[in-house]
Amino acid sequence: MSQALRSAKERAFQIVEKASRIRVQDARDNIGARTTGRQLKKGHNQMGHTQGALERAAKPPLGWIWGDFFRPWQRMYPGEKLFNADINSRREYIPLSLIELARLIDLGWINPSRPIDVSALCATQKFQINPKIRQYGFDLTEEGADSFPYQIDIEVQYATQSAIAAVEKAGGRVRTAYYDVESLEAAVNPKAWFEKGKVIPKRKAPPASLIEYYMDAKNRGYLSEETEMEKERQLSADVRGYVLPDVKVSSALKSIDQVFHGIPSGSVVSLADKKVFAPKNELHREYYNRQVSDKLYS
Amino acid sequence: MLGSTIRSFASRTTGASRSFFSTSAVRKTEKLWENPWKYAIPEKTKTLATVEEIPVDWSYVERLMPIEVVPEVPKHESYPTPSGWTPPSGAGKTHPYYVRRRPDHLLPLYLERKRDLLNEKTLDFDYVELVTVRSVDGDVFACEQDLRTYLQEQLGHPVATHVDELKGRIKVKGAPRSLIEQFFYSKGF
Repeated sequence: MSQALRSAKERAFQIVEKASRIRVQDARDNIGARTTGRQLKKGHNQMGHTQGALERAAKPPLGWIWGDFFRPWQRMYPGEKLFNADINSRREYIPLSLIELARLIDLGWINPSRPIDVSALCATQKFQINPKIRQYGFDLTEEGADSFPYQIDIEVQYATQSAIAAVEKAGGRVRTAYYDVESLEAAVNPKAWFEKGKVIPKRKAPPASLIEYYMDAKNRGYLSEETEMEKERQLSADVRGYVLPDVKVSSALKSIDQVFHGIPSGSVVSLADKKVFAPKNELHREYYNRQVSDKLYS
Repeated sequence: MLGSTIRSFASRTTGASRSFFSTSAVRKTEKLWENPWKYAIPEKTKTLATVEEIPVDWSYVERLMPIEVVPEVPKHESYPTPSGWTPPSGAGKTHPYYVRRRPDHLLPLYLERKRDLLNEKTLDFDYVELVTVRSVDGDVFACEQDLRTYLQEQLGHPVATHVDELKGRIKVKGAPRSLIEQFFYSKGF
């Protein structure tokens, strides 16, 4: 506000006052004061896109140079090593703070007595997850951790230590679980999935870069041992100085390759007939009943 | 619909598929090399999916359906609730202005981010974060006056506001949405 009220002259003075004394090396041209050549065509100064691309709103990815697809910026200028280098592989998690969760429970959108997972959160229609653009689920953040009273059983894809501690302090349970793209698509909008008549997929194993995270009991990963997790639970209670309540979460856990609670993977749900069908073929049965989840190469 | 597809599956498995994949009807005169694929590939048994109904508790499916209607607010022992929500009370009717709730029982407060002036030091644009209060009925200016004095008392710095009387909107700059929410809850809206 004060910046706008002052006159341009006054501001110019202020900049000059703050500037250092003039030295010999300052007596040179400003950048771009002289040019070695003249721009002949407008089309020659289009770093990163062409006019046609602009018109059709089909922009190349950030760092990409039109017509030079095999040399994006991050490779042309290796000084900026990490500039968008992971643009095609980075994962996005939708933040879900504990205070948001508490409000959803307060207003009756989520039933705290039932297990909460991606499908329960997406059924509120308050969140939008698009697995196709590498959004991989929810990130439970600690905002509102000081006063989170509900005893919940929640499964998210990523969780901070403070958030885990806050839920466990209230007697709840946190699990971080990986959903591959297809399973997440089914979990985000089960109704559309069932109406299309698609088979409920089997949840794939996490990729190599994530498997450590989900095997770590500290993150309450779904692939870690129960005993290890119990130890970590006690440890975080000791470190943070709270007493773990005696109440236990009674609801059953999903198996590691299951997308929905209570519905086996490999089955087809008919909403019109209110019936669930499972494959009869032995090959299919064996594939879906095998507890080892498929390896996903991504 | 699904029933009919299953029936069609069944008819296909019983009828036509046998002749497609069988290798038994090889002519005696045909030499091995005339159609080597017939012997190189193992005989295909059918893998067409047939399904059977399984008993599943339908409530597991029902809970997956998107919530179409705003749910009833459950009864709480005391207000505000753990997330700070309070139902509207009778005190809201005593003011010269009234702020309507949204259909989902929340206050009509919206966040907005707009570009400000160019910062000369960093040569980046500054951004201002505004909070818009919508659907204010009655004396909007009185509402704005009360809101501003409350916010300035709480924050200890001046707060900029802008009133759109026609639309019944107030824009606030320099105050968090949670504090504005607290103000309206304390007024009984």
